[in-house]
Amino acid sequence: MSLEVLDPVLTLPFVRLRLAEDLGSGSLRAAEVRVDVIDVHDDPIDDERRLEPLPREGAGLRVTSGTLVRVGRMTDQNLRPVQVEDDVGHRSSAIVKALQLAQAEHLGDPVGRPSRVLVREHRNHALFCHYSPPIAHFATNDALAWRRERGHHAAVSEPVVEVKALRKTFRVTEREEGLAATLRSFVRRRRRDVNAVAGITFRIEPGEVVGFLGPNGAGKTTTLKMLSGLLHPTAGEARVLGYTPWRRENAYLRSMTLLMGNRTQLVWDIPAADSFRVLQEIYRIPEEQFRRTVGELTELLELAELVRKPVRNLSLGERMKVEFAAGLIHSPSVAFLDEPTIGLDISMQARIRRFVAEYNRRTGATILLTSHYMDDVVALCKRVIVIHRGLLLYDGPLADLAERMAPYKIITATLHDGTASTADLDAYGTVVSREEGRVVLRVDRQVAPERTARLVNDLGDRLADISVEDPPIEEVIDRVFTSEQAMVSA
Amino acid sequence: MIRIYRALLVAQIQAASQYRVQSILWMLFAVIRPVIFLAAWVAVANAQGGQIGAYDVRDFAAYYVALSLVLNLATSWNAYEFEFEVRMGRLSPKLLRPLHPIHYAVVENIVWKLTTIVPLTIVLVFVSITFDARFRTTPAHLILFVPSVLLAAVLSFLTGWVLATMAFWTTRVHALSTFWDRAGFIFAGQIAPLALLPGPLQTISLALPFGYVLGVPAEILRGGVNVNTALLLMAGQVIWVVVFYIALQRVWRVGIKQYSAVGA
Repeated sequence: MSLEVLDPVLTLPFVRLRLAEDLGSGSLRAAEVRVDVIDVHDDPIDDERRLEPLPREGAGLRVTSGTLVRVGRMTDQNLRPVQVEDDVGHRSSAIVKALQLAQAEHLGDPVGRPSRVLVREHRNHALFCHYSPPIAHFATNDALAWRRERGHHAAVSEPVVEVKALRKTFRVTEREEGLAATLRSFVRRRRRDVNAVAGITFRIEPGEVVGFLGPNGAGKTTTLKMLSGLLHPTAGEARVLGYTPWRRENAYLRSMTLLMGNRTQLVWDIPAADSFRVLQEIYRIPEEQFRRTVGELTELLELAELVRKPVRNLSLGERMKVEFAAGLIHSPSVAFLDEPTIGLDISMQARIRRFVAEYNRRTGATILLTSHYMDDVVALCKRVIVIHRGLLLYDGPLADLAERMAPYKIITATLHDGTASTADLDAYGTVVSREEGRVVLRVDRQVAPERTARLVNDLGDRLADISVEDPPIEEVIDRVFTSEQAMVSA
Repeated sequence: MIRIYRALLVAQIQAASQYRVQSILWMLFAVIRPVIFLAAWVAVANAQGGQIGAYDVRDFAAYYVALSLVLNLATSWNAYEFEFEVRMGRLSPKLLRPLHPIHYAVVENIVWKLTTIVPLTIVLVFVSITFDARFRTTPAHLILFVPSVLLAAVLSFLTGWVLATMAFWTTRVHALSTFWDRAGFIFAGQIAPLALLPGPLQTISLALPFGYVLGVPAEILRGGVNVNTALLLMAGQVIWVVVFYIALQRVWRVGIKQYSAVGA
């Protein structure tokens, strides 16, 4: 059996450990290391969604006291837990152990096709959680040695995007209203520095689709422009695929793309098919590869009719699809998508979303995406980076964002007799709204199960339906920004 | 690079073909100005007995016909376009590709020249006949004219780009390039042939790059200078091309760091 380790998560336990050490803490909750063997043809993203949360058996343990390792096929329900006693410094051996188990148990593909292994840390149902991880390179010598022994030549993967204390300050001229101020500005201009990006640090592993969130003016687009080499930063470092973006080396430009939802990069007056030919020459795409890529993109985006019409005759949605094809024609391994669905109708948004997911699945491209449509983010990104006023607020699983930023659940109860408007439900939580037979309650996350049970019990037959949900992600995001504002003003 | 140019040329010709009428109108508009100067000089020369300096009426006609041709072949509008691209963020898609943005402009210029050269020649033949232009052109002049007009085109293109690159700092290059164009009005040989400019102005026009873009190739085509003088003037063209080539590299390198990618 051949095993290929999918690295995205492999390094993260070390990130956490290092973080804990840096903080002088040895009491970080031990996490489970779970090894999932997936068939090469499986879709890790879909499997991820199918994955049931694991019981938190390791919760509360000191890091030093042990790590729980589970090994199994992604679809296996009965994972065999193995307790591995290890010291803090040797968490890597837990992973190695897990990988060895995977091999010993013959969990690879029975037909002998190469299998992929996902190693990850489980905390509740979250894949991993880290907050502004330090950028140091975490040498996982044991794991490396293990892999080298078995002929896995690739080192523990380098991050695709590595951003360190990146800053961009724009100098803007300010002028007050009125004639006098205008005349004064002829003589002396008042300039002010605006910190569009005020020092952010993050890294993105190969194949990740990361949502980059923030209100207007948060610095998202500025960051994307720096990462795609359009802007020179004021300070800080960034490496994408090992290149410094703003040096704009041709080799780098050939392996990345920046797509902006509200911008066109096609020649307006000619059919897209002709623009594709120009791009073929500029990117030096061999004929065979060009035909194959164009064929694939045409199929995925249903472009056949569109590429023959002059771009200016296309509708906004049609043009966006063609823009996507043009932006991806050179098969970039990193894609920065800035509001890719802006202004599109619902079905076109959904189609673009499906396309992005499919593209990521087929090519393993790393994608950093900004969007104001939370549906985009929920559909595509497991991990989000939230920035506000140029500073990083949150970096972690989308699933944890709600838990961290909105520590409550929403219980919606529907009553048979339409008495919701009169029923006294304040005892169960904060009533957010009442209408007809429906009442919406906000309940502290910790007590939500108990309150729900009480509600069901107390209301008895009057209850027609009840649901317990996380607050809508828009609400969570809004909370993040308003609480940050409150912090700033305080 | 040849393949890239071929692909760009095909695309640009396709795009330009959609605006044939517009191109021809622009071309005619570009010819009107020299013809007005020509008419004015003809009137002045006739009032002074048919001769001003070394130019009689028919020499003026030949000079302005040559000038119109050079204007079309050698000048470019980069600064205006580039400023627009920088201001509107249109430069960004070009910067994202592994090809220097200057190449798109080169191709646009070539296509513009290709699409207008035939109708322009017809118009100029007509003007020559109407004003009874007298060319003193020898085969040597014709041979020298080709590299001379090429050098002029390169020089004009480079000066245009150096000016345009200022857009990285101000995003308001329009004023600067208009000023440059107006200066070219006097010093490049548009308002009058360089030989008729008052002494100090003539010195300025040959000390600065202006004269080398229009006046020099026009005089060579008309046969208004002897071969030795023509070679000397072409050496001046080469010097300015080198100066602006180096300047463009420097300015671009510094300027690109200033690019604020506004809008996009």
